[in-house]
Amino acid sequence: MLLLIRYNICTKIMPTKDKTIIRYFIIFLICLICIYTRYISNLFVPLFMKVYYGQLVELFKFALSAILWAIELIILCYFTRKKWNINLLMKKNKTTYSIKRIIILYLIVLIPILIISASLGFKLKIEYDFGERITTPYLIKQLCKYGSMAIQMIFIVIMIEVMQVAFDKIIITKYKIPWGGIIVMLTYGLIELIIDFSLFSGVYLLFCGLYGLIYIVSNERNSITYILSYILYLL
Amino acid sequence: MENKWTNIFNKLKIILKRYALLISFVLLTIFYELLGVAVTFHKFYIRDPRILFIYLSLASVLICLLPKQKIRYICCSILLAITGIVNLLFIVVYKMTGTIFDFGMLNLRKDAMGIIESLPIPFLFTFLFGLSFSLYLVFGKKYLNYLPEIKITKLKTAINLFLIIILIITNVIVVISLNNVTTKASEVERLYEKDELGYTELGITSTVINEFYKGLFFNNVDMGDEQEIADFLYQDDHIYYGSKEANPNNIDRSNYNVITILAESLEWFSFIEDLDKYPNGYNLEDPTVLESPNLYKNLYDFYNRSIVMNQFYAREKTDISENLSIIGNYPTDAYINYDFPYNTNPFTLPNVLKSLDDDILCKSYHNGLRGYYNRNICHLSLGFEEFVDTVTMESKFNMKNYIPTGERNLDSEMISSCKEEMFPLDRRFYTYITSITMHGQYTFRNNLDNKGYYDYLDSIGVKEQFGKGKDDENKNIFRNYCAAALEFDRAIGKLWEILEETGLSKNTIVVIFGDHNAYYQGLSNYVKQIYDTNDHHYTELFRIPLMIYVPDMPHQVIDKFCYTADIVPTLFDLLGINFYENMYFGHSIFSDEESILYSRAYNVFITNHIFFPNLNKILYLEDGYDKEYLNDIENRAVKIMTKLGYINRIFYNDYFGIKSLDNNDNPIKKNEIIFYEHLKAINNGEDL
Repeated sequence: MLLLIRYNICTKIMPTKDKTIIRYFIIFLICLICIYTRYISNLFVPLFMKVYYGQLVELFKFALSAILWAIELIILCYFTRKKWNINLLMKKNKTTYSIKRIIILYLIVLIPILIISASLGFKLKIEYDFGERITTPYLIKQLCKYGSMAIQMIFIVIMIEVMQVAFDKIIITKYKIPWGGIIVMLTYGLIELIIDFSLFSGVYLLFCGLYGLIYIVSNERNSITYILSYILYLL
Repeated sequence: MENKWTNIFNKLKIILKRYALLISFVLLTIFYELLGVAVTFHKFYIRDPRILFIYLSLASVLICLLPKQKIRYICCSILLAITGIVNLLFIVVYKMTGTIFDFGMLNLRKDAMGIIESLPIPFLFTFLFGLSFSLYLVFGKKYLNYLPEIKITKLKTAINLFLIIILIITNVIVVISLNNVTTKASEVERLYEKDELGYTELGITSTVINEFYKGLFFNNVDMGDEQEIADFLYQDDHIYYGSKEANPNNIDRSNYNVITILAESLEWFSFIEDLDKYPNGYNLEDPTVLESPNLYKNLYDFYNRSIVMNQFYAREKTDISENLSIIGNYPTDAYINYDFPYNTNPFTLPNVLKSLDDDILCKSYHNGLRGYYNRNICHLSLGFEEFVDTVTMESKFNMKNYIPTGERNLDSEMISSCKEEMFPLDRRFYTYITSITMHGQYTFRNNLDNKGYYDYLDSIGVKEQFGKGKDDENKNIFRNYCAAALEFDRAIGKLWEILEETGLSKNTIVVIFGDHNAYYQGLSNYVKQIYDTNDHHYTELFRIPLMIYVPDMPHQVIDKFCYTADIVPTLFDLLGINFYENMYFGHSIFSDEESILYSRAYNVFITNHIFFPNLNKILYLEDGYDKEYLNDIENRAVKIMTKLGYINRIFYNDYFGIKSLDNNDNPIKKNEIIFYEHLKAINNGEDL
């Protein structure tokens, strides 16, 4: 939060001539569209209605989405690297963290987990997700959901990354502002809230902002952002 | 002097720095173990940490053999992760099943999904494990480059290798000493053990390690002297010749049919209001409304026709309860269904009935999955001609199968569909029915709603609660359970209708018993308001129904303590079958002797007044029961444990299946033949 509060006087919006910025917006849009290609899997639902009395429909939906996302991701990464020389996944920024930074990262992850667990009666969210009536198809479905979310999270991290790069070029500030997180929160997070109007999607919206914060505090390291964001999502 | 201390301090600092990774690994492992015990058994100590220390020492010495700090860091991290995950896994298993890990449990892995109702992930353990482990990873990596490298000299390697040998030898000695305390052939010693409860004794990882040792190296029971087993089984002064009380009018019941119904999770509170015993059960203005046709009329009718055992207890899972009610005994550290599915078991109820009556038809029915608990194989070796499961019921008898929709099948539909085969009119029969509708989870079910059960419950004020609180949640669980009980009531109504129509009610004994309390979602605890051994009337938690309908005997309520293993001897008594008492754990409910429940799954002894894992650790004793009672309990427990020793020898070595050659060199099962000869001799007055 200190990062946000202290940026005040130094903010400048630069009329940049860097035309490559548009590329980051394009990547962001592609990622956003890719996430919602999950609805394509709905078209195949009738095919699976007769498998185990329709109990496995959700499972197939998640599995198809995951496969689709994986293909889209490979294509996206390949073209951005080939055409625009933008490497979305691999970054060579491997600085060691100071104790202060480590503590902040821990706090960013632990505090939300503690708050959410406490509000669920000191139950972890994953336990709450599984519920109290686990059947084999349900368990498999949940595991597939987490699996597909693991791929979806890559898109989210990429979206955060490209928006951060783009806005850092447009708006110059003395201190880092988690633009990526804010933009993802106001786009993807908001869309999710509208689609599934529930408390959890509201929390998820805030989490998108947190993912952006993690990205900044982790020195813009995708791998760390990805791991911590996924832990946050699961727990 | 000061310089000397500074030197020592500096040297100590260097050593600490050099072995920082290892020291923190050891400390964290101990912390995880203690935390695991605290989360499961609410104690922050391990009484016998020998295996844990050997494991840690062995791991430390092996790690010390590694030359690079980075390799050590990776190894320590992997070992820490394994220890933490093992602890987490078995905490979850404990929270799900209430039992600690034993090697035999691995056999249940295929059926685990049927047992799982939720994944109770312990928040405290997961949080602290996750936090400490990630700190180890993060800070270990951060300071890895600052840690001094260690020179591995030949001398150090030799010392380490020597230590490894010493530790392995110590490990063998400790494991032998731990597992030889109780040999399965001499179970009486269990009674006098000084072990702590569950994981408090060894810790979680050590228990898992020890169980693997036990399962792999100590799981054989010596047969010992075959003749000694025979001498124990066929003692002349341990033959039960029946009691007058079981057949007061001296009626010939040799042609009576038998129907045994294992009523899944049946509790008295499912159809009876008793605010003293079930404060969170029914609380109706007019409790007699429960006897109305819309509600539990059939169960009340059955109650009023039967011999009701008011002090019947059970503390096992379904498979063991089922076997106890068919076999009358059960070995330790193994599961009959998985470990001995092909054994020769002449002493089971169906086999005994068949040996005395060639014409009797013995079949087992269960409206659940075929392979669950391996019943489709095991029930055949128990003496049933056929095990009829849901698939057969659906294909052969057109029973509606709800399993694919995630709901339990309906017991009344099973009885209606299979009635002609279940209750044949042309042959004497023994039919065993394992019901399923009352199986947890107790959530709203469409098939029960379609029958109107929820509406009936609404009409007496047992309504759905919409609050988010725990109490409202528990009330809904109770309501859902009651709806399932209504379905069981309809099944009993259907059964009685068939018996009346066909006239079978005049010569059929019907046994209905609960296999265990309604432990799913903590329902029994909630309704009875009993949570801990310190609670008043703790053993009431395990008191469930046993009702026996005998056509020629009037309704009576008996207050004698009995449990699931008493069902077989009681049926022998009612049918006028004499038997060798040492073969069975229980006693006829009409005999002078009273049983003691020994739970194989939970390793505890229970009566209506006492609850203990061993005589050195009595966890509950009802007020007013003194030393004299304890002496009586000790005698009962010694008797059952003595029998258990022989039962282990019989099961583990398939005593009755041992083959030898007869005079014509044909293979025969000599011990099985001897059993039947003895059985016939004491029943038909034949000479041996």
